[in-house]
Amino acid sequence: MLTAIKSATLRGVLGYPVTVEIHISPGIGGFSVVGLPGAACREAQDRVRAALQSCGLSWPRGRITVNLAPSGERKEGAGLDLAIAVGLLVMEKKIRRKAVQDWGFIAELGLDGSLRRVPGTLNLVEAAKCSTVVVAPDAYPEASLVKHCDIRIAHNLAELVAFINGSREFPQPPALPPPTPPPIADLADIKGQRTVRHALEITAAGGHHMLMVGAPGAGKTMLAHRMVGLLPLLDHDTALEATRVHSAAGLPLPKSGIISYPPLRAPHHTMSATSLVGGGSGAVRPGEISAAHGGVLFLDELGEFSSVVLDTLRQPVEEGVVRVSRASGTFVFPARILLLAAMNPCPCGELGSPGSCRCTMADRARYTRRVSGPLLDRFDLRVLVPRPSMQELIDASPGESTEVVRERVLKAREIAGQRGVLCNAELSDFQLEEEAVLTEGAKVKLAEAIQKQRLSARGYRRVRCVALTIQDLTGRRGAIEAKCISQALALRAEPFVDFNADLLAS
Amino acid sequence: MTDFDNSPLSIGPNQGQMSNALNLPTQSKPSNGAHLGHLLALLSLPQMGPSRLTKLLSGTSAQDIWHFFQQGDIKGVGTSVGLPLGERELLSSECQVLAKQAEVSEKQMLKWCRLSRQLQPEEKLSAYMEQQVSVAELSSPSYPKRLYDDIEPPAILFWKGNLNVLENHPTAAIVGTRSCSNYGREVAFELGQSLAASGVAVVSGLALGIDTAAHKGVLSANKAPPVGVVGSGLNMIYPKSNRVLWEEVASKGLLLSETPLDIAPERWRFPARNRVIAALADVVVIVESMEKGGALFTAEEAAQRGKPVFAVPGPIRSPASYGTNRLLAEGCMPLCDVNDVLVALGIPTSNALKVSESQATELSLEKQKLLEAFGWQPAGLDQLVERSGMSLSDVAVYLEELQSSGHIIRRGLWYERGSQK
Repeated sequence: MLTAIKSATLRGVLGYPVTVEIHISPGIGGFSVVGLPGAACREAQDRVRAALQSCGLSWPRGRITVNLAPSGERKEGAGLDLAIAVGLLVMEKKIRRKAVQDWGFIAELGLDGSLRRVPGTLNLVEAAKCSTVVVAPDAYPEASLVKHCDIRIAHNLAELVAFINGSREFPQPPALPPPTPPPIADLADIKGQRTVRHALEITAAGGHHMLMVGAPGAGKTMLAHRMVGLLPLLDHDTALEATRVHSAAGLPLPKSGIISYPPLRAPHHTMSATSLVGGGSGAVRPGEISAAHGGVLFLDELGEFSSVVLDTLRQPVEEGVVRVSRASGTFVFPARILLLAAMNPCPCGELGSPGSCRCTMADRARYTRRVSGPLLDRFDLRVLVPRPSMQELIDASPGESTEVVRERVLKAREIAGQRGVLCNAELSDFQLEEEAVLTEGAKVKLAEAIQKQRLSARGYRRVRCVALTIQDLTGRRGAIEAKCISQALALRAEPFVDFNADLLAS
Repeated sequence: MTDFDNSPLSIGPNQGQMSNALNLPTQSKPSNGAHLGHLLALLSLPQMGPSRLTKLLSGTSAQDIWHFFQQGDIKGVGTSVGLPLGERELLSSECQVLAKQAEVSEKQMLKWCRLSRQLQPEEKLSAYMEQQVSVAELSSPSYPKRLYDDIEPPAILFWKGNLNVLENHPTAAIVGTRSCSNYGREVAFELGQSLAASGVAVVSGLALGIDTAAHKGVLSANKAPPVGVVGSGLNMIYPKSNRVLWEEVASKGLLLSETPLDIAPERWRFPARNRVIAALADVVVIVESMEKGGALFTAEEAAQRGKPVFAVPGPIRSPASYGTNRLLAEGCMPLCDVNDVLVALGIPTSNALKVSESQATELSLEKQKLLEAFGWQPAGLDQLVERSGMSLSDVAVYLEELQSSGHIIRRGLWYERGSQK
């Protein structure tokens, strides 16, 4: 007496297919789950038993063995509940075996027999590779993203049995609403700050990482929260990747099922390295950096993060993926992000106006040490966000709106698209050499900058790349002009200088 | 070099009559050495400041005091000093008198007595010899005259370098805030340079900011020697980042302190140090000071001693000039030119440099406009764009050019006006 039902379980953000095998041998009643079930999986017995009874269905007699194949992989979560229940119903001959051949079942069961969504349903439906998959109604939007797969929904077990046996029709899934933009404040709210707004525009257009340094209350956080509004919609692949991560991490998904607007993640500075890059004991979850895939990771109060946490950012920011290695294997999470960070110039925030800063040199050194040189080097734009003056605050004329700036950003991204990349920051060294041709004046400027020891080799490439974006934003094509280089250099300041260091005598 | 002797081991002019001073490496008579050793040992006791030491020393020699201390705590039955009934530690009658004289509690005196048996005065002395630190007490002939005549002279003085500097040169103190503006830093540097070039020994506190800039100016002139007065022991460099300057001042001029070796800078020692600066200087210049800066204390001390005090005027919006401007409002003399100091010192001004030699360079209209956008505070890129009304790309280009012509200085995220006018 044996039945096999298809389902899937999560491993990192990816699902892998699982076959739930059920065997019932005559004898004293018993229930055991084998095949490395996790704690939630092992508890399936109680949930399934109650669900069956609540729906007026009988529990099979005899000794029940449930095997989750492949048996060598650990299974986490309660997503196999429905498959176990269906398997038992087949054994009890409540469902015809043939009817559920090549069907997949992915849902958790409530004690009342209701079907519930499990995290990562999208990824699980993809992995199950079945012609028809049954999911909980609230999981339908994301499940429907999988092509060439018939998604069916049922509210509870009793309904499901009726649907499968043909006594009732499967309900028509609800029509999905079109994607709606998340509520993002408009850039027009920000008065003054022309340079910083311009830097934001360059960041959005070129995908360059940006560090904002400024006194408390200058508006760094306000600016950062308006950043995502400038970015273009995600392309289909990136949107799917982002949706997979959000689904697997158990983060809420939009009503339309797919994340089509670039996400903004702004974790608090007390976060751990694991919560940033992903990991965890038991099930390995994607971290904040992957949750920001395709969008913006905003680190407010950069100087308050632990330096260990910050340094884990270096590799993902460079490669666009996070590799988390555990004893159970290596997990690769997508992490193509735009890194935006904000911090004060010193612990009291008043550095830059002599006589106002109350910090000792040791205080300042401690604060800036958190941000390592290599991490700092990855910020292509480092700008000062000064407190707006009284005049600017009183002045009622609003700045440019998000819509206007976004228009320019999209044009610049279009030009980047003609180079075969999403944005200029993704250009390889070889492509940069081809695309970012320098005028004679620009060459002189860059040579000067290198001579004054202001630029590393990486810095040189980044300045060139930012200058290319600046030129793209003006709509001009051709070789990069000297003034674009000047601007790129002016926006790439060394943020931590010793104000007491004497430049006069050396 | 005629103006000063470069040797750190030189001995004062009244070397022959030296009786109570230790000058290194030639050590005077052993009895004097012993006396100094005891004095240093007394100073190294905890809670023993200069004023307590002076009170103790009035009428009793250091050796005798040390002798009393060593036999000061006697065991017996008597009045309570915080111990349970029975056997008690008591002070000898001599130490009771000393405690009253120094205005310390008997408990404190007992502590000193106990400690005194663990310390070796001879070892103290050799530590100073090893570190080439000279010592003089108030009564010794090598004690500098400038300080001896002061209303509040240090009881004991430690120094590295050449004490003759104080006799051979007129002196001017240049002091100011640690968190200074670029303007203050440059003025201090130029003042130090010009004064040293005119043969004035510049006295300063070797703190960050103005003090450091002034001494760097002095060293760049390479003429009159620098005089540094510090608040910590001469082997406790503070701030640590000033190590090179500290050592250079000691080797090219004079490094003074009234704090014994191994004593870290303590809060109360800085005002005391400022008093010594005021006592040593013929003229005091405050370059920049905050509302409640320590430099104002120096000005007060100098005024008490009837010495001319100059304050460098600054913009009223700069917090770093708040104190100096307040001084000016209260009637302090403004410093407009280095000649003001030279006149006050009675030095001919003909060959003196001006504080700032402006080299008028032709600037385009746009650059002038951009320069006008600079306040007296460091300004960020955004502020410059906002104030000048120019586009970011123009500002970026002009800033680079102004930077290479020295009109402005870039300090990370900020830009400041440079020395070019």
